[in-house]
Amino acid sequence: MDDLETRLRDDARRIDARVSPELDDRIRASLNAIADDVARPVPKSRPRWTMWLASGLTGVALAAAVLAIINQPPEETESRPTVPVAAATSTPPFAMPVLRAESAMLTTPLEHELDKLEADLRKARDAVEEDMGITF
Amino acid sequence: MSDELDLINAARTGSVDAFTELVHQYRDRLLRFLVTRCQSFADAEDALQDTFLNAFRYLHTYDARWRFSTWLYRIALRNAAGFRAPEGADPDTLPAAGSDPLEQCIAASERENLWVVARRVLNDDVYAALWLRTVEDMSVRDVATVVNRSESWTKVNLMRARQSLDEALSDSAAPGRSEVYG
Repeated sequence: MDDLETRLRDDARRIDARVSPELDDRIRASLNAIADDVARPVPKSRPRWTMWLASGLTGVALAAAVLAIINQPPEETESRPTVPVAAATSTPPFAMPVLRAESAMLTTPLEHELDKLEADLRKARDAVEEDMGITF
Repeated sequence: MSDELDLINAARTGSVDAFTELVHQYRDRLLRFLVTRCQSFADAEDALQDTFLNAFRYLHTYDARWRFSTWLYRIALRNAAGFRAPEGADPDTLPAAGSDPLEQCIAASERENLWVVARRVLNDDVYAALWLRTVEDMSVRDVATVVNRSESWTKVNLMRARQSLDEALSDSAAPGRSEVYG
């Protein structure tokens, strides 16, 4: 025990705190007031193993039920009387219109357009070359 | 120890006489501890009464593997917390100087009581741990149980508490030091 510890013990002893007779009586009276509650036997909880047994059995039963549901063979579909849906609604008769279509020569205008574009391109190229010749 | 266990078993059946025997064994030690933690002597007395009441009421939960004093101090510490000034309390609401129950219980002497110094430099839990270890001679494990901390926390903080107290004592032993070195 070192010096500090000795001093701490000595100084704790120097703290003069004592229970007065009045406080002693108060404590005694309050203990008497709750003595009946303390004496009442506490209901014993069930042994823990029964809880584990019950929960285990519940789990096994649940697993068996799930397996039975999964492995159940598919029931045969019952033949139900067919209900004539179409007969229930009356639709007006649909008359197919007669379509007249003629083949069109679509390639000729495109070829003309291509010629025009090529001509424009040639003109543009000539203009550029001419400009370049002037510049350099 | 077996006598104590016999008293506990008798008290569990509602015997006030048996529990009063236990009260007589611990009341002065507990009050001395509570005086260091409450704002007034009356609060410490109330905390002591609550401690014994709660102990008697919940005696059926006491596990005999623990020391009875460990269990009792744990209840006392919890009760004392209800009689302490809240953290950051308004200084005006704190008890006036001179009404400190600890200082009231200490006879005037030439030197300051170390527990007054300890309360100044240590926080609540460390203070309680130091008290239980040195005054009540509890093991580190029991102290850790009472203050609801780990054993390693308790060991480290007990060591730091001693260092802090040593420093505080060496500072007070050299009063001119702070004036010289600022």
